[in-house]
Amino acid sequence: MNPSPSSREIEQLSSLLDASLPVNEATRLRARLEREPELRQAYEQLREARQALRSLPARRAPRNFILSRSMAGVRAPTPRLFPAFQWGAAFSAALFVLSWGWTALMGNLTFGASAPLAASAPQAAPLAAEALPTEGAMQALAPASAEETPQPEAARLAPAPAATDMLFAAAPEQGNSADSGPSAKAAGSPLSASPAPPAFAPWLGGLTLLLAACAWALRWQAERKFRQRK
Amino acid sequence: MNETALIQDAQNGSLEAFNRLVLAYQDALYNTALRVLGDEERAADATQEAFLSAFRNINTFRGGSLKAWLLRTVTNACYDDLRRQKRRPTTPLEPHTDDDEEMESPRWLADPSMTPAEKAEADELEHAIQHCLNALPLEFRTVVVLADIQGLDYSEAAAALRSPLGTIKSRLARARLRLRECLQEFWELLPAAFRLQKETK
Repeated sequence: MNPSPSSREIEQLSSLLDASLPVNEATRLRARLEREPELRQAYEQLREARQALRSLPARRAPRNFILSRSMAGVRAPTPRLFPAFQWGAAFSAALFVLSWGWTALMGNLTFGASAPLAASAPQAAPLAAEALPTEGAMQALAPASAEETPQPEAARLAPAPAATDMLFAAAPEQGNSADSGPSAKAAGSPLSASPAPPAFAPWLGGLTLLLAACAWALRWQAERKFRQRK
Repeated sequence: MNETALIQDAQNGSLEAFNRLVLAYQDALYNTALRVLGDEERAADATQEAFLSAFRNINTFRGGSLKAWLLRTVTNACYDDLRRQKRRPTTPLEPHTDDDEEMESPRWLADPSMTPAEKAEADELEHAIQHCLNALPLEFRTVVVLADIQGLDYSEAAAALRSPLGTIKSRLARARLRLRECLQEFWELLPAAFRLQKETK
Protein backbone atom coordinates (compact mmCIF):
# COMPACT_ATOMS: atom_id res chain seq x y z
CA MET A 1 0.00 0.00 0.00
CA ASN A 2 1.29 3.46 -0.88
CA PRO A 3 1.85 5.94 1.91
CA SER A 4 -0.52 8.91 2.16
CA PRO A 5 0.43 11.78 -0.18
CA SER A 6 2.97 14.32 0.96
CA SER A 7 2.27 18.05 1.22
CA ARG A 8 4.07 18.57 -2.05
CA GLU A 9 1.87 15.98 -3.77
CA ILE A 10 -1.26 17.52 -2.30
CA GLU A 11 -0.20 20.87 -3.66
CA GLN A 12 0.40 19.35 -7.09
CA LEU A 13 -2.99 17.68 -7.01
CA SER A 14 -4.63 20.96 -6.13
CA SER A 15 -2.87 22.67 -9.01
CA LEU A 16 -3.89 19.85 -11.32
CA LEU A 17 -7.46 20.42 -10.24
CA ASP A 18 -7.19 24.06 -11.24
CA ALA A 19 -5.46 23.19 -14.48
CA SER A 20 -2.49 25.29 -13.52
CA LEU A 21 0.15 22.58 -13.59
CA PRO A 22 2.65 22.50 -16.45
CA VAL A 23 1.63 20.02 -19.14
CA ASN A 24 4.43 17.52 -18.58
CA GLU A 25 3.92 17.51 -14.80
CA ALA A 26 0.18 17.13 -15.29
CA THR A 27 0.68 14.14 -17.59
CA ARG A 28 2.95 12.43 -15.10
CA LEU A 29 0.55 13.08 -12.23
CA ARG A 30 -2.42 11.77 -14.15
CA ALA A 31 -0.56 8.57 -14.86
CA ARG A 32 0.19 8.19 -11.15
CA LEU A 33 -3.44 8.81 -10.30
CA GLU A 34 -4.34 5.78 -12.36
CA ARG A 35 -1.93 3.62 -10.43
CA GLU A 36 -2.09 4.96 -6.87
CA PRO A 37 -5.45 4.80 -5.07
CA GLU A 38 -4.21 6.91 -2.13
CA LEU A 39 -3.32 9.69 -4.49
CA ARG A 40 -6.59 9.26 -6.29
CA GLN A 41 -8.51 9.53 -3.03
CA ALA A 42 -6.70 12.73 -2.04
CA TYR A 43 -7.47 14.16 -5.44
CA GLU A 44 -11.16 13.32 -5.02
CA GLN A 45 -11.23 14.96 -1.61
CA LEU A 46 -9.75 18.15 -2.97
CA ARG A 47 -12.22 18.15 -5.81
CA GLU A 48 -15.14 17.61 -3.46
CA ALA A 49 -14.04 20.44 -1.24
CA ARG A 50 -13.77 22.76 -4.19
CA GLN A 51 -17.16 21.64 -5.44
CA ALA A 52 -18.68 22.28 -2.02
CA LEU A 53 -17.30 25.81 -1.98
CA ARG A 54 -18.53 26.47 -5.49
CA SER A 55 -21.98 25.27 -4.56
CA LEU A 56 -22.34 28.00 -1.95
CA PRO A 57 -25.13 30.30 -3.00
CA ALA A 58 -24.01 33.79 -3.93
CA ARG A 59 -25.72 36.19 -1.59
CA ARG A 60 -26.94 39.51 -2.82
CA ALA A 61 -25.70 42.56 -1.03
CA PRO A 62 -28.26 43.52 1.64
CA ARG A 63 -28.18 47.13 0.49
CA ASN A 64 -26.43 49.39 -1.94
CA PHE A 65 -22.99 50.43 -0.86
CA ILE A 66 -22.79 53.51 -3.04
CA LEU A 67 -21.01 56.40 -1.41
CA SER A 68 -22.64 59.72 -0.68
CA ARG A 69 -20.65 62.92 -1.09
CA SER A 70 -20.43 63.38 2.64
CA MET A 71 -19.27 59.79 3.15
CA ALA A 72 -16.62 60.14 0.52
CA GLY A 73 -15.62 63.56 1.81
CA VAL A 74 -16.12 65.10 -1.62
CA ARG A 75 -16.41 68.89 -1.52
CA ALA A 76 -16.74 71.51 -4.16
CA PRO A 77 -13.40 72.87 -5.31
CA THR A 78 -12.31 75.87 -3.31
CA PRO A 79 -12.80 79.13 -5.22
CA ARG A 80 -9.52 80.85 -6.03
CA LEU A 81 -10.35 84.00 -4.08
CA PHE A 82 -11.70 82.15 -1.05
CA PRO A 83 -8.39 81.91 0.85
CA ALA A 84 -7.73 85.62 0.32
CA PHE A 85 -11.05 86.56 1.88
CA GLN A 86 -10.71 83.94 4.55
CA TRP A 87 -7.29 85.10 5.66
CA GLY A 88 -8.28 88.73 5.31
CA ALA A 89 -11.24 88.20 7.60
CA ALA A 90 -9.09 86.34 10.10
CA PHE A 91 -6.42 89.06 10.08
CA SER A 92 -8.97 91.80 10.41
CA ALA A 93 -10.68 89.98 13.27
CA ALA A 94 -7.37 89.55 15.03
CA LEU A 95 -6.63 93.26 14.68
CA PHE A 96 -10.07 94.08 15.95
CA VAL A 97 -9.63 91.94 19.03
CA LEU A 98 -6.12 93.27 19.61
CA SER A 99 -7.26 96.86 19.43
CA TRP A 100 -9.86 96.23 22.09
CA GLY A 101 -7.44 94.23 24.17
CA TRP A 102 -4.75 96.88 23.90
CA THR A 103 -7.20 99.58 24.86
CA ALA A 104 -8.38 97.62 27.87
CA LEU A 105 -4.85 96.76 28.90
CA MET A 106 -3.56 100.27 28.59
CA GLY A 107 -6.64 101.57 30.32
CA ASN A 108 -6.08 99.28 33.29
CA LEU A 109 -2.38 100.06 33.50
CA THR A 110 -2.95 103.74 33.35
CA PHE A 111 -5.86 103.53 35.75
CA GLY A 112 -3.76 101.61 38.24
CA ALA A 113 -0.81 103.93 37.92
CA SER A 114 -2.80 107.12 37.90
CA ALA A 115 -3.77 107.23 41.56
CA PRO A 116 -0.39 108.35 42.87
CA LEU A 117 -0.15 110.72 40.00
CA ALA A 118 -3.46 112.28 40.78
CA ALA A 119 -1.73 115.46 41.65
CA SER A 120 -0.55 115.83 38.11
CA ALA A 121 -3.97 115.03 36.72
CA PRO A 122 -4.71 118.55 35.62
CA GLN A 123 -2.03 118.09 32.99
CA ALA A 124 -4.37 115.70 31.15
CA ALA A 125 -7.50 117.51 31.95
CA PRO A 126 -8.10 119.38 28.71
CA LEU A 127 -7.97 116.23 26.61
CA ALA A 128 -9.89 114.24 29.14
CA ALA A 129 -12.57 116.82 29.23
CA GLU A 130 -13.43 115.99 25.64
CA ALA A 131 -14.22 112.45 26.65
CA LEU A 132 -16.25 113.48 29.65
CA PRO A 133 -19.80 114.31 28.70
CA THR A 134 -20.79 115.85 31.98
CA GLU A 135 -20.81 119.54 32.13
CA GLY A 136 -20.13 119.68 35.84
CA ALA A 137 -16.88 117.85 35.52
CA MET A 138 -15.80 120.11 32.71
CA GLN A 139 -16.49 123.09 34.87
CA ALA A 140 -14.54 121.52 37.68
CA LEU A 141 -11.56 120.96 35.47
CA ALA A 142 -11.57 124.14 33.50
CA PRO A 143 -9.86 126.33 36.12
CA ALA A 144 -7.15 123.81 36.72
CA SER A 145 -6.24 123.58 33.08
CA ALA A 146 -6.38 127.28 32.63
CA GLU A 147 -3.77 127.82 35.31
CA GLU A 148 -1.37 125.34 33.85
CA THR A 149 1.36 126.06 31.42
CA PRO A 150 0.76 125.03 27.78
CA GLN A 151 0.67 121.29 27.28
CA PRO A 152 3.74 119.51 26.05
CA GLU A 153 3.41 117.87 22.62
CA ALA A 154 3.47 114.34 24.05
CA ALA A 155 0.63 115.09 26.35
CA ARG A 156 -1.46 116.39 23.48
CA LEU A 157 -0.83 113.28 21.50
CA ALA A 158 -1.56 111.00 24.42
CA PRO A 159 -4.50 108.66 23.78
CA ALA A 160 -7.81 109.80 25.04
CA PRO A 161 -8.52 106.72 27.21
CA ALA A 162 -5.37 107.22 29.25
CA ALA A 163 -6.21 110.81 29.75
CA THR A 164 -9.71 109.82 30.66
CA ASP A 165 -8.40 107.51 33.33
CA MET A 166 -6.25 110.18 34.77
CA LEU A 167 -9.23 112.40 34.84
CA PHE A 168 -11.22 109.74 36.64
CA ALA A 169 -8.47 109.43 39.14
CA ALA A 170 -8.44 113.14 39.55
CA ALA A 171 -12.17 113.53 39.73
CA PRO A 172 -12.59 112.54 43.42
CA GLU A 173 -9.96 115.06 44.35
CA GLN A 174 -11.85 117.63 42.45
CA GLY A 175 -14.97 116.31 44.10
CA ASN A 176 -13.45 117.10 47.47
CA SER A 177 -13.44 120.72 46.56
CA ALA A 178 -16.51 122.75 46.98
CA ASP A 179 -17.60 123.01 43.40
CA SER A 180 -17.49 119.33 42.53
CA GLY A 181 -20.85 118.19 41.12
CA PRO A 182 -22.63 114.85 41.25
CA SER A 183 -21.47 114.06 37.72
CA ALA A 184 -17.88 114.15 38.84
CA LYS A 185 -18.67 111.59 41.52
CA ALA A 186 -20.33 109.42 38.94
CA ALA A 187 -17.28 109.66 36.72
CA GLY A 188 -15.22 108.08 39.48
CA SER A 189 -17.33 104.93 39.56
CA PRO A 190 -15.80 101.69 38.26
CA LEU A 191 -18.28 101.39 35.38
CA SER A 192 -17.27 104.62 33.85
CA ALA A 193 -13.59 103.69 34.23
CA SER A 194 -13.55 101.50 31.11
CA PRO A 195 -11.63 103.28 28.34
CA ALA A 196 -13.08 104.02 24.97
CA PRO A 197 -11.85 101.88 22.04
CA PRO A 198 -9.82 103.45 19.24
CA ALA A 199 -11.80 105.20 16.58
CA PHE A 200 -10.88 102.67 13.90
CA ALA A 201 -12.11 99.66 15.92
CA PRO A 202 -15.67 99.74 14.52
CA TRP A 203 -14.23 99.91 11.04
CA LEU A 204 -12.16 96.84 11.72
CA GLY A 205 -15.22 95.03 13.01
CA GLY A 206 -17.17 95.98 9.91
CA LEU A 207 -14.32 94.93 7.65
CA THR A 208 -14.12 91.56 9.38
CA LEU A 209 -17.81 90.94 8.87
CA LEU A 210 -17.62 92.03 5.24
CA LEU A 211 -14.67 89.78 4.40
CA ALA A 212 -16.23 86.82 6.19
CA ALA A 213 -19.49 87.34 4.33
CA CYS A 214 -17.63 87.47 1.00
CA ALA A 215 -15.76 84.24 1.81
CA TRP A 216 -19.00 82.52 2.79
CA ALA A 217 -20.76 83.73 -0.38
CA LEU A 218 -17.93 82.45 -2.57
CA ARG A 219 -18.01 79.03 -0.90
CA TRP A 220 -21.79 78.85 -1.11
CA GLN A 221 -21.78 79.73 -4.79
CA ALA A 222 -19.11 77.08 -5.52
CA GLU A 223 -21.10 74.44 -3.61
CA ARG A 224 -24.26 75.34 -5.52
CA LYS A 225 -22.51 75.07 -8.86
CA PHE A 226 -20.98 71.77 -7.82
CA ARG A 227 -24.36 70.35 -6.85
CA GLN A 228 -25.93 71.51 -10.11
CA ARG A 229 -23.13 69.93 -12.15
CA LYS A 230 -23.58 66.65 -10.32
CA MET B 1 -20.33 49.47 -18.95
CA ASN B 2 -16.90 50.63 -20.01
CA GLU B 3 -14.97 49.79 -16.91
CA THR B 4 -11.76 51.46 -17.99
CA ALA B 5 -13.53 54.76 -18.62
CA LEU B 6 -15.31 54.54 -15.28
CA ILE B 7 -12.05 53.88 -13.50
CA GLN B 8 -10.46 56.83 -15.21
CA ASP B 9 -13.39 59.09 -14.29
CA ALA B 10 -13.27 57.86 -10.73
CA GLN B 11 -9.56 58.59 -10.61
CA ASN B 12 -10.40 62.12 -11.74
CA GLY B 13 -12.68 62.44 -8.74
CA SER B 14 -16.03 61.45 -10.21
CA LEU B 15 -18.04 59.90 -7.41
CA GLU B 16 -20.79 58.99 -9.85
CA ALA B 17 -18.42 56.87 -11.92
CA PHE B 18 -17.10 55.20 -8.82
CA ASN B 19 -20.61 54.43 -7.61
CA ARG B 20 -21.32 52.63 -10.87
CA LEU B 21 -18.33 50.42 -10.13
CA VAL B 22 -19.68 49.92 -6.63
CA LEU B 23 -22.96 48.64 -8.03
CA ALA B 24 -21.10 46.26 -10.31
CA TYR B 25 -18.90 44.75 -7.60
CA GLN B 26 -20.82 45.09 -4.38
CA ASP B 27 -22.16 41.53 -4.45
CA ALA B 28 -18.69 40.07 -4.94
CA LEU B 29 -17.22 42.13 -2.13
CA TYR B 30 -20.09 41.43 0.22
CA ASN B 31 -19.92 37.69 -0.44
CA THR B 32 -16.20 37.66 0.18
CA ALA B 33 -16.60 39.53 3.45
CA LEU B 34 -19.47 37.27 4.46
CA ARG B 35 -17.46 34.10 3.87
CA VAL B 36 -14.38 35.45 5.61
CA LEU B 37 -16.18 36.94 8.60
CA GLY B 38 -19.17 34.61 8.79
CA ASP B 39 -21.46 37.39 9.95
CA GLU B 40 -23.83 39.39 7.79
CA GLU B 41 -23.73 42.64 9.68
CA ARG B 42 -19.98 42.73 10.01
CA ALA B 43 -19.67 41.74 6.37
CA ALA B 44 -21.83 44.69 5.34
CA ASP B 45 -19.73 47.05 7.45
CA ALA B 46 -16.51 45.67 6.02
CA THR B 47 -17.86 46.04 2.49
CA GLN B 48 -18.75 49.67 3.10
CA GLU B 49 -15.34 50.31 4.61
CA ALA B 50 -13.72 48.65 1.64
CA PHE B 51 -15.51 50.82 -0.90
CA LEU B 52 -14.70 53.94 1.07
CA SER B 53 -11.07 52.96 1.19
CA ALA B 54 -11.13 52.06 -2.49
CA PHE B 55 -12.48 55.49 -3.41
CA ARG B 56 -9.83 57.23 -1.37
CA ASN B 57 -7.09 55.15 -2.92
CA ILE B 58 -8.44 54.74 -6.43
CA ASN B 59 -5.45 56.67 -7.77
CA THR B 60 -3.15 53.90 -6.59
CA PHE B 61 -4.86 51.44 -8.93
CA ARG B 62 -2.40 50.91 -11.75
CA GLY B 63 -4.41 48.67 -14.05
CA GLY B 64 -4.94 44.94 -14.06
CA SER B 65 -7.94 43.26 -12.52
CA LEU B 66 -10.14 45.76 -10.72
CA LYS B 67 -12.01 42.91 -9.10
CA ALA B 68 -8.80 41.56 -7.58
CA TRP B 69 -7.85 45.04 -6.41
CA LEU B 70 -11.26 45.58 -4.81
CA LEU B 71 -11.16 42.14 -3.23
CA ARG B 72 -7.87 43.09 -1.65
CA THR B 73 -9.47 46.15 -0.07
CA VAL B 74 -12.31 44.07 1.33
CA THR B 75 -9.91 41.44 2.61
CA ASN B 76 -7.98 44.18 4.40
CA ALA B 77 -11.23 45.50 5.85
CA CYS B 78 -11.99 41.98 7.08
CA TYR B 79 -8.55 41.72 8.67
CA ASP B 80 -9.16 45.02 10.44
CA ASP B 81 -12.52 43.79 11.67
CA LEU B 82 -11.03 40.54 12.94
CA ARG B 83 -8.24 42.42 14.68
CA ARG B 84 -10.84 44.54 16.44
CA GLN B 85 -12.80 41.43 17.28
CA LYS B 86 -9.69 39.77 18.64
CA ARG B 87 -9.55 42.27 21.47
CA ARG B 88 -12.66 40.64 22.85
CA PRO B 89 -12.42 37.17 24.33
CA THR B 90 -13.58 34.58 21.80
CA THR B 91 -13.55 30.83 21.46
CA PRO B 92 -10.25 29.81 19.91
CA LEU B 93 -10.58 28.44 16.40
CA GLU B 94 -8.15 25.67 17.12
CA PRO B 95 -8.35 24.40 20.64
CA HIS B 96 -5.43 22.91 22.46
CA THR B 97 -5.06 19.39 23.74
CA ASP B 98 -4.33 18.52 27.34
CA ASP B 99 -0.65 18.70 26.46
CA ASP B 100 -1.19 22.27 25.30
CA GLU B 101 -0.63 21.35 21.68
CA GLU B 102 -2.77 22.74 18.92
CA MET B 103 -5.35 20.31 17.57
CA GLU B 104 -4.48 19.79 13.95
CA SER B 105 -7.53 17.79 13.02
CA PRO B 106 -10.74 19.72 12.49
CA ARG B 107 -12.69 16.79 13.92
CA TRP B 108 -13.17 18.78 17.12
CA LEU B 109 -15.65 20.79 15.13
CA ALA B 110 -18.18 17.99 15.35
CA ASP B 111 -19.47 19.29 18.62
CA PRO B 112 -20.50 16.28 20.71
CA SER B 113 -22.80 18.52 22.70
CA MET B 114 -24.91 19.21 19.64
CA THR B 115 -28.31 17.63 19.88
CA PRO B 116 -29.82 15.80 16.90
CA ALA B 117 -32.15 18.73 16.44
CA GLU B 118 -29.23 21.13 16.29
CA LYS B 119 -27.46 18.87 13.89
CA ALA B 120 -30.54 18.78 11.76
CA GLU B 121 -30.50 22.56 11.73
CA ALA B 122 -26.87 22.62 10.78
CA ASP B 123 -27.20 20.11 8.02
CA GLU B 124 -27.74 22.65 5.34
CA LEU B 125 -24.79 22.72 3.09
CA GLU B 126 -24.23 26.42 3.41
CA HIS B 127 -24.16 26.39 7.18
CA ALA B 128 -21.88 23.40 7.23
CA ILE B 129 -19.45 24.95 4.80
CA GLN B 130 -19.50 28.29 6.54
CA HIS B 131 -18.91 26.51 9.81
CA CYS B 132 -15.86 24.77 8.35
CA LEU B 133 -14.65 27.97 6.72
CA ASN B 134 -14.77 29.74 10.05
CA ALA B 135 -12.62 26.99 11.50
CA LEU B 136 -9.83 27.59 9.02
CA PRO B 137 -6.93 29.85 9.92
CA LEU B 138 -7.51 33.28 8.43
CA GLU B 139 -4.79 33.07 5.80
CA PHE B 140 -6.20 29.76 4.54
CA ARG B 141 -9.74 31.06 4.62
CA THR B 142 -9.03 34.13 2.54
CA VAL B 143 -7.19 32.14 -0.11
CA VAL B 144 -9.93 29.57 -0.45
CA VAL B 145 -12.64 32.24 -0.56
CA LEU B 146 -10.86 34.24 -3.25
CA ALA B 147 -9.91 31.25 -5.38
CA ASP B 148 -12.85 28.90 -5.01
CA ILE B 149 -15.74 31.22 -4.27
CA GLN B 150 -14.73 34.36 -6.16
CA GLY B 151 -12.99 32.43 -8.90
CA LEU B 152 -9.71 34.33 -8.93
CA ASP B 153 -6.81 32.53 -10.52
CA TYR B 154 -3.59 31.98 -8.61
CA SER B 155 -1.87 35.11 -9.83
CA GLU B 156 -4.90 37.29 -9.07
CA ALA B 157 -5.23 35.78 -5.62
CA ALA B 158 -1.52 36.33 -5.07
CA ALA B 159 -1.89 39.96 -6.11
CA ALA B 160 -4.97 40.43 -3.94
CA LEU B 161 -3.30 38.97 -0.87
CA ARG B 162 0.19 40.27 -1.68
CA SER B 163 1.61 36.81 -1.18
CA PRO B 164 3.95 34.76 -3.37
CA LEU B 165 2.35 32.42 -5.87
CA GLY B 166 3.86 29.38 -4.17
CA THR B 167 2.33 30.39 -0.84
CA ILE B 168 -1.07 30.75 -2.46
CA LYS B 169 -0.86 27.30 -4.05
CA SER B 170 0.26 25.68 -0.84
CA ARG B 171 -2.38 27.39 1.32
CA LEU B 172 -5.13 26.62 -1.13
CA ALA B 173 -4.26 22.91 -1.23
CA ARG B 174 -4.09 22.64 2.53
CA ALA B 175 -7.25 24.66 3.00
CA ARG B 176 -9.18 22.41 0.64
CA LEU B 177 -7.95 19.32 2.40
CA ARG B 178 -8.88 20.64 5.81
CA LEU B 179 -12.25 21.75 4.57
CA ARG B 180 -12.89 18.32 3.15
CA GLU B 181 -11.98 16.73 6.47
CA CYS B 182 -14.24 19.12 8.33
CA LEU B 183 -17.13 18.57 5.97
CA GLN B 184 -16.74 14.84 6.46
CA GLU B 185 -18.25 15.36 9.91
CA PHE B 186 -21.42 16.67 8.36
CA TRP B 187 -21.41 14.37 5.39
CA GLU B 188 -24.04 11.92 6.49
CA LEU B 189 -26.24 14.65 7.83
CA LEU B 190 -26.52 16.37 4.51
CA PRO B 191 -29.68 15.74 2.55
CA ALA B 192 -29.18 13.70 -0.58
CA ALA B 193 -29.93 16.70 -2.76
CA PHE B 194 -27.13 18.59 -1.08
CA ARG B 195 -24.56 15.84 -1.38
CA LEU B 196 -21.59 16.74 -3.43
CA GLN B 197 -22.01 15.99 -7.04
CA LYS B 198 -19.22 14.34 -8.87
CA GLU B 199 -17.83 16.59 -11.45
CA THR B 200 -18.08 15.37 -14.98
CA LYS B 201 -14.65 16.63 -15.73
